[in-house]
Amino acid sequence: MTSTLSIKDLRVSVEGQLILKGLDLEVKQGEVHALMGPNGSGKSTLAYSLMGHPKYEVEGGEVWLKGQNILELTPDERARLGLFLAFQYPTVIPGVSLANFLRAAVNAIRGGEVNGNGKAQVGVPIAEFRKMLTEKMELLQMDKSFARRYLNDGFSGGEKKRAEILQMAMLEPEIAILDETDSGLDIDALRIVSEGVNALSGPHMGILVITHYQRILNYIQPDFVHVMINGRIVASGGAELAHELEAQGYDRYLKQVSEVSR
Amino acid sequence: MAQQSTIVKDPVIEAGVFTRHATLALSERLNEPEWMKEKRQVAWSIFEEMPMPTTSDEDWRRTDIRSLKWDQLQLSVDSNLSPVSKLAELPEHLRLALDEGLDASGRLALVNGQVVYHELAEGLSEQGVVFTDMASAVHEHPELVQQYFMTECVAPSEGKFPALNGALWQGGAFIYVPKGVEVKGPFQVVVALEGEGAAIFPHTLIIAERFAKVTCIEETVSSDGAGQALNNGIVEIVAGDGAQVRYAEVQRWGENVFNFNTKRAIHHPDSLVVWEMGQLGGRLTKTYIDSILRGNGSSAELNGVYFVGDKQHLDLDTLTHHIGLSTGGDLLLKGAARDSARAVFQGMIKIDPTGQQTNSYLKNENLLLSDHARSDSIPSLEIDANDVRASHGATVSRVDEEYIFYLQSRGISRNTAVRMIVEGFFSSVFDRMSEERVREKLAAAVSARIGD
Ligand SMILES: Nc1ncnc2c1ncn2[C@@H]1O[C@H](COP(=O)(O)OP(=O)(O)OP(=O)(O)O)[C@@H](O)[C@H]1O
Ligand SMILES: [Mg+2]
Repeated sequence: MTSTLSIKDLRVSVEGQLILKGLDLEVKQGEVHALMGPNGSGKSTLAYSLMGHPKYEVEGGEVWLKGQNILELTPDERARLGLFLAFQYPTVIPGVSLANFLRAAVNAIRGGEVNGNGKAQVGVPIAEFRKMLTEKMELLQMDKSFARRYLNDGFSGGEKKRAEILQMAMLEPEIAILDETDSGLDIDALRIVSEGVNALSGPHMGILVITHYQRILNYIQPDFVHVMINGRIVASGGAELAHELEAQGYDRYLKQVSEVSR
Repeated sequence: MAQQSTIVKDPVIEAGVFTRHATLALSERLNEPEWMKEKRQVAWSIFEEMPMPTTSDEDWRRTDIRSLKWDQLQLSVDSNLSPVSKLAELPEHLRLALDEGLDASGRLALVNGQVVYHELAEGLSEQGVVFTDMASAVHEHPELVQQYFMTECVAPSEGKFPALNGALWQGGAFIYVPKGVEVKGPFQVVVALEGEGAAIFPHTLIIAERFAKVTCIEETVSSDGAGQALNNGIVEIVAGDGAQVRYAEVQRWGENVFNFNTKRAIHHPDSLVVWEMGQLGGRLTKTYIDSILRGNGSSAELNGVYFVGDKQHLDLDTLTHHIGLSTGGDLLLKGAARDSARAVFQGMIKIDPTGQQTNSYLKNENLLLSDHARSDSIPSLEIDANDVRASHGATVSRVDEEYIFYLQSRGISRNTAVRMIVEGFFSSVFDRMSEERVREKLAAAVSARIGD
């Protein structure tokens, strides 16, 4: 059965301020959606809320995935259900190596958490894990040495983004949200990462690409494009909508919104 | 500040357990030569005259020792374990502490101050290396003990606890490495406290002559009785010209042990002393770790972790004293406190006018794992030279919610996430530890304490 992430009338506030003001969106496994919108319109807020960041207060609405309202789940339960978020600003965690972290994550997702002394009880055998890690790192053309480095510690902006996609590759989510994965990537890196995403995508993965630019969409071609203004989706269309936005900006939609609210 | 005028009775003397008579009896029992008997008597006299530290002393401001019941202690002179000749005959907890199965240059097990096991790898005696217990050293190497025991390193006059140790010491290791000799594997020592009310006064002396190299790993353990117990120890290290000494300590006292220590290294030119330690147990700990960098070009390093829980109280006090020209200090300590435990760290970098071209670093980081845990970190600098580089840093923080969220977003449960973050917090210290067996032990002990 195809999984669908289905967002209904989602309202979210941050520090007392309402940011998402009734948002509806459906992303099915196998589909590619692009979400575009001006700075501060609430795109990352949507991403964080879907993942369950404690700072984002859900004021109303529902988000369904595989028969569960995920708003009632903890972030790790959401991840284990098949949701993934590639962060716009990944967190640096000193002392936790990328490889150890990934091993814990892979085991958690596959149903066997890593126990106290760092040894996996259930989950993927270490040899298989290593093979998989090497493969995925090669796919994203990441140097092997990254595996031993502390998570995002001292990584350049682009390296962090690549490491996010590496995590996605290892965890094989059903629904992946990529929050401005393209920003900070140089031209070659953008191609490598996009091709990596394409290699991983397919009928088993639904993707929501949050971006400001057409260029990533040249690689990862969207089936649907949505425009977000002021906490709501104000327009949806096909791939052509992204081209239109690239050429004309958000003026037209901003005017519409201000007329509506007047 | 006004002097306190009331006459405070000395709780130790009041209790009448530790007495001049007891020190004389010890000398008698150990059949000590006159000079050692004399050292004990001098130390006892100093002890009698000194006031017990109280929270009005700056060093002891955050550590109140009035809950220690001196009258319930006893000078433990016996071990219920008889000496054995094979490592395999020791009880398991002592064998574990001595890393049975791994290579060592020598092993020494002390229970309540008595030697229960001793071994020295072949070929070392022939090179002039000495590894024995302190009481034996008094008889076998009187000239060395006479020269170094509480003379140039730790003096009885420094404080109540060092003086009491000087009067009542028993057990502890004695290590002597002659000029140019490099002892490959570590010497491993376990110091055990057994029985309710037991009090021990171990005294360790390590002398490394010019260009000698040696490592000593000491682990402390105790059987958990309901009553209080006391450890009052001294470690003296004398590092000769160009000598390298590594001293590691895995402190695992039981929850009722009051633990006082003065550990100090005297540095001759170009010597290096590395302290590696994990402070895990004890009801109350007050430990001084001092590096006296007298010799030009000498340096000190410390890699330490601590983890306290329940009602534990841990107070660590470091001194990096730069006296010689171009000396170095690099101290990194990281600790975590949970439940209603309290950790105190006071670190001093002191640079004398003669200490030009000093490079000295001191960093202390603390993680609080509960709302009731408390941590105080007080680093300080006292610099009387102008051409130096010195810096210190101290932090006290909680596990970052952003870190937890990031790990959780990858499917890792909150508990596991916290564990990984806390382990990660300590890893920069473990990365610096050179003795793998110490690192592994401490990492495992830390992991075990995060859980439940
Ligand atoms: N953690 C937070 N604390 C305070 N304000 C926040 C927080 N997160 C979001 N906001 C506010 O919510 C609004 C929406 O921010 P959000 O990051 O979702 O925008 P965005 O569409 O992702 O913008 P950009 O394109 O710049 O990434 C902004 O006004 C922002 O300042
Ligand atoms: Mg954003």
